[in-house]
Amino acid sequence: MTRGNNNPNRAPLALGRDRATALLPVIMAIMSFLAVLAAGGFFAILTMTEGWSSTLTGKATVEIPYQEGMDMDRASAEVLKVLLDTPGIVTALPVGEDEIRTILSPWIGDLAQDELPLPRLIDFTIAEGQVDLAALEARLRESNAAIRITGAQAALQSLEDLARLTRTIAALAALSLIGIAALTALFATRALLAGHRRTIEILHLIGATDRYIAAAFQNVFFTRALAGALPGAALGAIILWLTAYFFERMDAALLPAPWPGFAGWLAVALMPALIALITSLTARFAVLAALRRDEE
Amino acid sequence: MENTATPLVRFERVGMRYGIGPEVLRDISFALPEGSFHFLTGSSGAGKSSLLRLLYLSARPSRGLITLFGRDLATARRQDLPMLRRRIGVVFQDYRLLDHLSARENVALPLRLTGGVEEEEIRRNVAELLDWVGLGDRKDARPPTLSGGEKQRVAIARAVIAGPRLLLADEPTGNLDEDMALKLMRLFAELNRHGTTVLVATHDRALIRRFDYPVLRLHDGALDGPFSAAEYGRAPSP
Ligand SMILES: Nc1ncnc2c1ncn2[C@@H]1O[C@H](COP(=O)(O)OP(=O)(O)OP(=O)(O)O)[C@@H](O)[C@H]1O
Ligand SMILES: [Mg+2]
Repeated sequence: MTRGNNNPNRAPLALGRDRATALLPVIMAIMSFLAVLAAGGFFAILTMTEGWSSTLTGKATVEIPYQEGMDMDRASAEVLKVLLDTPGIVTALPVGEDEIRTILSPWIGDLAQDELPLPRLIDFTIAEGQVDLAALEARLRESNAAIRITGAQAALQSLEDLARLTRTIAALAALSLIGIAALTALFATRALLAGHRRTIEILHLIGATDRYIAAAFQNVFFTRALAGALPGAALGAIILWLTAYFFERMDAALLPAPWPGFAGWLAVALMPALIALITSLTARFAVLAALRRDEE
Repeated sequence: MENTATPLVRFERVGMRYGIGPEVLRDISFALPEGSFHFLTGSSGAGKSSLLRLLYLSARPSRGLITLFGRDLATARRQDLPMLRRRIGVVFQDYRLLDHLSARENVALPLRLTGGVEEEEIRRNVAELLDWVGLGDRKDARPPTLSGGEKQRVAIARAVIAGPRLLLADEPTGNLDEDMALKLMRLFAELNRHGTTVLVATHDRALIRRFDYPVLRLHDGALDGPFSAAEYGRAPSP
């Protein structure tokens, strides 16, 4: 770049103090703030679910409720066979009658236990993340609609599904925000081009290349977007930190605190640069395309 | 190096129109040998500025062939234009200065765009040239605060600063008093002696008579000449 371009008072294309770009830092601050929250949220959910999987073992239980006239032994054997045939299931073991009584005693007491119809329970363990419990449950229900799978692992899996959905939404939100930043840059570029048409024409006639013109736009969009995106991201980072901090301090918290983790903080730190880069590249290519189009 | 027999500029049966309007230039053929100096004259609206626009690549002909620096302009792509334009100095009839830049920065523009010239050297050359055209005390003034004649001199300084191979001047003395007009014409003549090919559009007959250069005359979109200055003086004025 020529040296004259560094000094705003001497820049042949004085784009810096222009109404078309005056609002750019403000818009980019908002975009960057929201994108940081979305990206931070994405990684926070990731660390939370990682926490669950590593703290809980892959244990679950199939419950066959008692039904009048049903051969409970046969039903139990059928379920056991299905479980043992399912890849990813490491062990499957029917829970003994005594044990079931022990489990149930707080609710029914010791009275008339012999007459009480007992359900059958079959414990099983799975290799982590390798069995789709919902599908397994559907399969077991083909023979008996009352069968259900219970246990921490089952609850965890539905939570994990929810977490995955939330994560997808957070990622889409972050990407949309970056997309909106690019669109904003596109419209600002067009306004700026229109306002400087005469100057650009003169520069062209003196021998300026399209790339020279585009570089002037790219520079001004980069610095203006960065000027807004930096404080916006900083504010977003503070909010992410405070959220995780107070979550952790709550005694009743059942879940690990939503810290974004190393990857999350890295994404947050890179967000201003990413936004400035995308904004300035959009400006560059919009200018090059517009100049080429003008010729026709 | 191009063959010296190849003229720097050649028009062959060139026509030009604005949009779908009538042809403002019709069937123009002429050549400017390298190192030549010509006047281009003709009444107002005859097409002088339009012909110059073809030469500084701001318009394309609607028909015919233009060769510039030995190159057929029809084959020039958009990305070739900057390098061609950097070898051409233009004094625009309406100056076309950048209003937000000082006179000094306006004149420095061609050197900065080309690059490769030391800042110190740019500063020195620009100051020297502005002193020479009598704007030594207006170097930091912006064009809107300059008089017509002062703007014209800034425009001339900008056109010659980079030592162009072809100099196109559109009414470069229209707003200047006679002494200043003569002084600037001598600047053009000096550049011409150093090899610059010069084409000056003017309807100042006194100027044409004073400098004995061949004259091309546009009349109603068609071109006559070149005449010698003496012939031109005798020719009936259209
Ligand atoms: N941008 C334009 N669009 C349409 N017509 C134009 C345009 N510029 C010039 N013309 C027309 O082209 C013709 C030639 O104009 P041009 O400016 O080349 O004349 P000129 O010889 O330079 O005149 P002058 O001595 O007044 O500067 C005129 O009829 C003018 O109306
Ligand atoms: Mg004219």
